[in-house]
Amino acid sequence: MQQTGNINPPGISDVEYLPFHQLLSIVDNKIAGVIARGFPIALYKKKWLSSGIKQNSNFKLSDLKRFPFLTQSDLIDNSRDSSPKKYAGRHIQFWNSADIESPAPCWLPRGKDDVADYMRYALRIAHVLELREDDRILVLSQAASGATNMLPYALAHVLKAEQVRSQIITMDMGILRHTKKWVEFLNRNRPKVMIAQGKDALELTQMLIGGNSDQSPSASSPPDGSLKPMPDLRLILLYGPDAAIQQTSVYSTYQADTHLSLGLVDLNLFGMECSARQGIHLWLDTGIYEIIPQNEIAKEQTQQGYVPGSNWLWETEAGIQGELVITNFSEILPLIRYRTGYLVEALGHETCRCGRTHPRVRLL
Amino acid sequence: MAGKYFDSDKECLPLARLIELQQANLLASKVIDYAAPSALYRDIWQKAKFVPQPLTDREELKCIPYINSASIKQAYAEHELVDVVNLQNARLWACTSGTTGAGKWIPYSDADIELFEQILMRNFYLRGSKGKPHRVLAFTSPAPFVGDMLTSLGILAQTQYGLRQEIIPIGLNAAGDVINLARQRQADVLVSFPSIAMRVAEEITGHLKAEIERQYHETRSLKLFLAKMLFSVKKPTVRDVLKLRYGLFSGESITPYRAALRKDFGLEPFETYAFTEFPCLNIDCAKHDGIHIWSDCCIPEIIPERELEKEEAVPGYIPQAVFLDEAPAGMQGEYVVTTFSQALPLVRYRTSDLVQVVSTGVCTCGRTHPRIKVLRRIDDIINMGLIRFSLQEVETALAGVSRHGSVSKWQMCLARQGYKPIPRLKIVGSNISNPEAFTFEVREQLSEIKILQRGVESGLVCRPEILLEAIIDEATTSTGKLKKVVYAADW
Repeated sequence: MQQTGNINPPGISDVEYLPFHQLLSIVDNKIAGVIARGFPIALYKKKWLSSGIKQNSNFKLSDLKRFPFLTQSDLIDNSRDSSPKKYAGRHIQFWNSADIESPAPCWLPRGKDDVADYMRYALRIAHVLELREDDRILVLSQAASGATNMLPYALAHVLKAEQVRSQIITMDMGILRHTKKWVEFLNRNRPKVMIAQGKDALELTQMLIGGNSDQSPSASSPPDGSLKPMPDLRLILLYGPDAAIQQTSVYSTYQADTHLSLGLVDLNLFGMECSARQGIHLWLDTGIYEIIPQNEIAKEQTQQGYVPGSNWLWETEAGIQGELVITNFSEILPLIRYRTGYLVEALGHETCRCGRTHPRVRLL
Repeated sequence: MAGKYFDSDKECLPLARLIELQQANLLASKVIDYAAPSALYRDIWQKAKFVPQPLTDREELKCIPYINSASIKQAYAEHELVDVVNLQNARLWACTSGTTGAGKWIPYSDADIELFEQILMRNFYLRGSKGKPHRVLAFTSPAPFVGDMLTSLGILAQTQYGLRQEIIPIGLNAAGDVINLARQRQADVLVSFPSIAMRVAEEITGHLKAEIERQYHETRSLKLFLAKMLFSVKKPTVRDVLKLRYGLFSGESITPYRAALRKDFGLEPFETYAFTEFPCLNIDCAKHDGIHIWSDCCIPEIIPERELEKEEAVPGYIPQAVFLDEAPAGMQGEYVVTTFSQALPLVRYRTSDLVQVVSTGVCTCGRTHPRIKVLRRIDDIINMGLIRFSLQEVETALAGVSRHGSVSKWQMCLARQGYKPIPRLKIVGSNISNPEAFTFEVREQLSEIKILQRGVESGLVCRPEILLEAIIDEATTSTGKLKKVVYAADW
């Protein structure tokens, strides 16, 4: 196991490097519970029963492909009825709205275990990013109730627990567009790490270097006179649907090591590039990943009623491209076979140069 | 269960023992040690010949010079961050809105964050959670405003403390996305700015009838038919949609909104008091007889009004403050606070908030923490709740009036139309060629104050009234200067 950065908590770093068969066995042990939690929810019940699936407590991973896919419109429909009766007996702690480009509110309930998972993800992000003592972290977040608005505060908790001295600044891009004067603070505090959507990172550059309507350009230029925005920045974690498209521009703008992530915190699972930069590791212990190959998607588009087939990500040949399908282990509303709309390329499940065993994809 | 959130040992301590605890916390915080290296204090203390040394008694605080908002801004403007803040202890940052220019960036240490979380739990209980699973609709301002931090920390803390409470967090501009969810979840607690809550109520009542009509045309259900019939004979209210029991309001005074909040929402409003510099949420209890200032977490003082007047009249006079717990009921003055932060401690920070002491006696709820009422600002800010701007902005805007005359004197009178703020600008003009055109130009210039314009457009404040006067001779300061901002009796 590699020990990098200042954050190497045993529970987190161990699971990163588990032998592949052990990762699969974690997933296999969770699947029956996930399906049991999904069954009483109207979102699934009717669909599953009409697909001939009956409730039992012995579901295995191999059974999952019998379950119908879940789509964004299913989630939106589900959001229309969020009555207490529907989630009876489940203790909801808070509600997220999904980051997915949703035409209507898409609310996801979260329980205590989900909050605990969320903290673990924050810790793991800190570990994989190899955050260091005295890092100054800028998070360009979304307004409540987007999932990323919780990330800075979860990070603050885990960094405290790990006794790693570092600061966190968070700014909502929506409000920065109206009140650009806050950007000036970044020239003073000089973040070393940034977590942002690609388009936001690029927009921020304009605010930092190009001046803005609130202030003169000189007030927002870096104090050393260089044109590199945030000159101390060494690391960027990009999330969001356009992260892959923006990666090169962001890198050339900030000249900092730029990692991609699959921004699925709102879907309660996560994946990110390691320092080897050989694709995004999808954290197999946090969810189940499938790919619907492009030829199947094409068939679905041309043949009415055709249900496309999918492959387990870890069994998909490197180079195969298709839509990513996820199953997560959420406490209140698990997403089971959710079609994310993300087009990815499988990169195989050989152990990465970094030593991690989690399968990798490239975002397209 | 309650013991997890309700700490009677701290909340109901006899006042004398509470002050002992406060003093013990002050001494343990080593606040002078943390403050002394900061450029925020260095020059001010040197100038006042105050030699920093560890405190042995809270009385010694009274020898320490005050700081204020301008001191923080100046320290940031003239020094590197590292000279102002104990960066090694800074964990999270939040920023004020910067009504008068640059916002103030405030760092919080791990201990601060832990304190804010504990106080949030204290408040959840006090507001009526008492371990019952409430459902909370929380409107929150976006980062870097402190509201974003408090909402998220609240969610994390309630999970950690095992409080079964459901929170639906939502941005200030996204009410439309959340009302249906809040209705279905039977949200019974509202967290909001009072003005935002009332705007939500106005929107709901304004659009509910049309929305029901639309839904009925889409889905002809019996329920929607009955709702349609009901609203053909009765004006819809927000209570037809949301059944809220409690409201937790912050960011502006609740007083002008209290009756409307009660009537429209049918909820019991609780008022809170905190500020970005020290977002330790003080709250009024169910007895609603003043806001309890959590006096184990800070040292609150008051500079009485007569001292403030003396300060204004006598150049160089340093006003004397009294500890809040020693102030008589009814006393009005500026609120001053000393915090125990290890990142940027505030030592005798003048808040510019005018408060009134309600009581230092035991509250009928059993709590002993002194109670205050927050009246208004006493600085050069025109404060209409969420909509705030500086006198300088008005001055600059009015200086641009030139086409049909110019402004020689002005005074802003803040009043209410119902619960909504209405700015009434009294003007004495000179060389006015066309009064109507002159008034139009004044209004045009005022609309250059962006925040005011946004407030009017979003319905948070009424359109300003422009009143041409021959003279403005009322409301002067103790030194006889014309007060630029006056507050109407209904404010």
